[in-house]
Amino acid sequence: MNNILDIHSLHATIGEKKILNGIDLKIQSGEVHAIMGPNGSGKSTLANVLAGHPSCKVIDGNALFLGQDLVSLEPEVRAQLGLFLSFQNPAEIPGVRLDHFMRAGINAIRRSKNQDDVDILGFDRAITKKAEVVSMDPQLIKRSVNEGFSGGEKKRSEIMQMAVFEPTLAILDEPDSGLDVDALKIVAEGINTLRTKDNSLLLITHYNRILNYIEPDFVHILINGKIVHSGDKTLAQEVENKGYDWL
Amino acid sequence: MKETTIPNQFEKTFSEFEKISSKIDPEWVKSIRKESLLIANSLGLPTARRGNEEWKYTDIKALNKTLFSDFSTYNIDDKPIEINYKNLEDDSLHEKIVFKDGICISKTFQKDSYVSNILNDNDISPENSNQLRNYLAKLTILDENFFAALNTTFFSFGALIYIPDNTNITKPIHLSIESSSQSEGNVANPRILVVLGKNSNATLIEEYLSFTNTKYLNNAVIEIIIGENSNLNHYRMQNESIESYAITNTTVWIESYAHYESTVTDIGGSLVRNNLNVITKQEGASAKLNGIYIVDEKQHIDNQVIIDHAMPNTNSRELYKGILSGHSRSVFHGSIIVREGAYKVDANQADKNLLLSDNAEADTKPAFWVYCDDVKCGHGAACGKIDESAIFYLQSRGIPEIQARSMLIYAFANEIIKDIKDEFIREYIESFVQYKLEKLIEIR
Repeated sequence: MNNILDIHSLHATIGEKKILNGIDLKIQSGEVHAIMGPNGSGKSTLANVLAGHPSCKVIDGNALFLGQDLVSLEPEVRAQLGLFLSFQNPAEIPGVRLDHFMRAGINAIRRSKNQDDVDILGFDRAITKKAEVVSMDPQLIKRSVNEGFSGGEKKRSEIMQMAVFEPTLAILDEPDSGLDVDALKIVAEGINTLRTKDNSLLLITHYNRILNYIEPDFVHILINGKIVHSGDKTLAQEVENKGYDWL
Repeated sequence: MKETTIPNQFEKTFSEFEKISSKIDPEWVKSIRKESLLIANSLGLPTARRGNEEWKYTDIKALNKTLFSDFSTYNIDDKPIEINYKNLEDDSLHEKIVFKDGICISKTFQKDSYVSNILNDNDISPENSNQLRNYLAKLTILDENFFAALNTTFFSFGALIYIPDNTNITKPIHLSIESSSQSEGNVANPRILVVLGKNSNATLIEEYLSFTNTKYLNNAVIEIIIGENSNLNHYRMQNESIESYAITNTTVWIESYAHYESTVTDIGGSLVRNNLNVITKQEGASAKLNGIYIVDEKQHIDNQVIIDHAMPNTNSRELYKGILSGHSRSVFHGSIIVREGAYKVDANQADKNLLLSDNAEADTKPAFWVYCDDVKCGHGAACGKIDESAIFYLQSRGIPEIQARSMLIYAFANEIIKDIKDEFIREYIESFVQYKLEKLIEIR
């Protein structure tokens, strides 16, 4: 097993507001970590800090991804190293087709490794296959990114992208929010098919629901920007029954 | 109130000009020139004075200082041509007509040409001569339009494109309107008349290029008549020198069940003003007017578009998009007129702007003059910056920031480009737009 992510005493702000107050977290290859916590506890900020969102500022600590500190890296470099963020509310990009968007990303990553661009026809065939992972309507791939997509279609699109990018670490920011039971099952099963012994998942969620489908190795409870409790999957059930107040 | 900046400013220039033109002009053209001269002199340069809505946002005072010293007449020097974006291959064109500093220098035309040189008697057939007399300077309303009057006073050889009834031209006719004068303050007056007969189809590319860095005024007048059941696809691409003033006055008459489609791409010029007046003359006429302007530094572009729905069951679609960087400024003034009795008109207009800098400014002003019930009119205007959340989204997929920005800017422009049906022209305009966008993104 290798260290994939090693976060040490991470403090971060958005604007004037301190959101993360010293996060420590270690993720090794093949592991699934779930982060749960009440609204405003800093779950999405943690995801955004790791992905390099420009509005999040790290003021202390570090986050080593495959041994390299993410903090000083541009967002695109993090992606090129194998980090992937599935967005809770991904942006709409009018005029940029989803397939072109993914191809531009894949080619940018390949160029960063001095590899040639993908073959366009081969890539088209490959993404059609990847869309099947989450039973996504292949017509959507030819449309502008997220434009006019339903909430569920956006989530499917994010997981399809995860399948295309094959990241070493995927951070999934509430991939379950706004999904009905059937869609949740499809998305969760899609995520499961993408798990290997070499990659890892950091799954941010509000509810225990998705953890019935994606079994976490560790569950962490985030409150006020700090991990206050860690445990195995039974912790999620406990939170479901008792809420966060007892922690 | 009429204001004359300099009384009889052009008398002297005209008397010089007339020494040559009088040898060529038929009598009817001589009288048109004289009338226009009177109008130009009495109007003077338009000013941004109070109440002059048309020129409220565009100040052209500077023209008086630097221009009007040298009017292009009939002598032309050939200059080498270099183009830094993909050029049109001659074999994909029906015909290419070249203007140099406002004067049509194509003197001989190919066998199947539909073009003749206005005022060149050796070339013009009796039928074409009739078309000229019927329409030249009949479409453009000169009374309130200084620049159109100036052009009509001083135009030299122009181009008459006459396409008879039942004629289908598949390849485009390309007008290459080139500025190369080395003399500061040159005024060029390109003149184009397009007459499309009944049941005919044609494509026109009107391209403005510059091979000089001097200050000049390119002051074009284009008049277009589209006969019953005919279609005209009209593409204008303007890449004048960054020092230049580029003014166009275009008037289009659309007859019954005829269709006019215009795609205007403006990337050059220091001050650009396009007046486009489209009139649906008969029932069933329709128009689609698309435009894209990309400006930076201190460029100023002003589009005044009037669609006059004079008849019932006519429709129009209008979409202009602007990309502004640096200290540039755009003005879009779109008027839609629906005349009395013009029922079932369907008109829609939109102007959208993408501001890449805090110092750029876009003024957009829609105006509706509706004198009839039972019509459908809509408009939209938008002005915004690049969506930073979309930039981050692209970056999170491995795409470097600069590439992400250019993808979004290009996508904004592409709404116009993807609408161009002809693949060959679409690629050409795409390369034209790309050329400017690359410059714009580099400077940032």
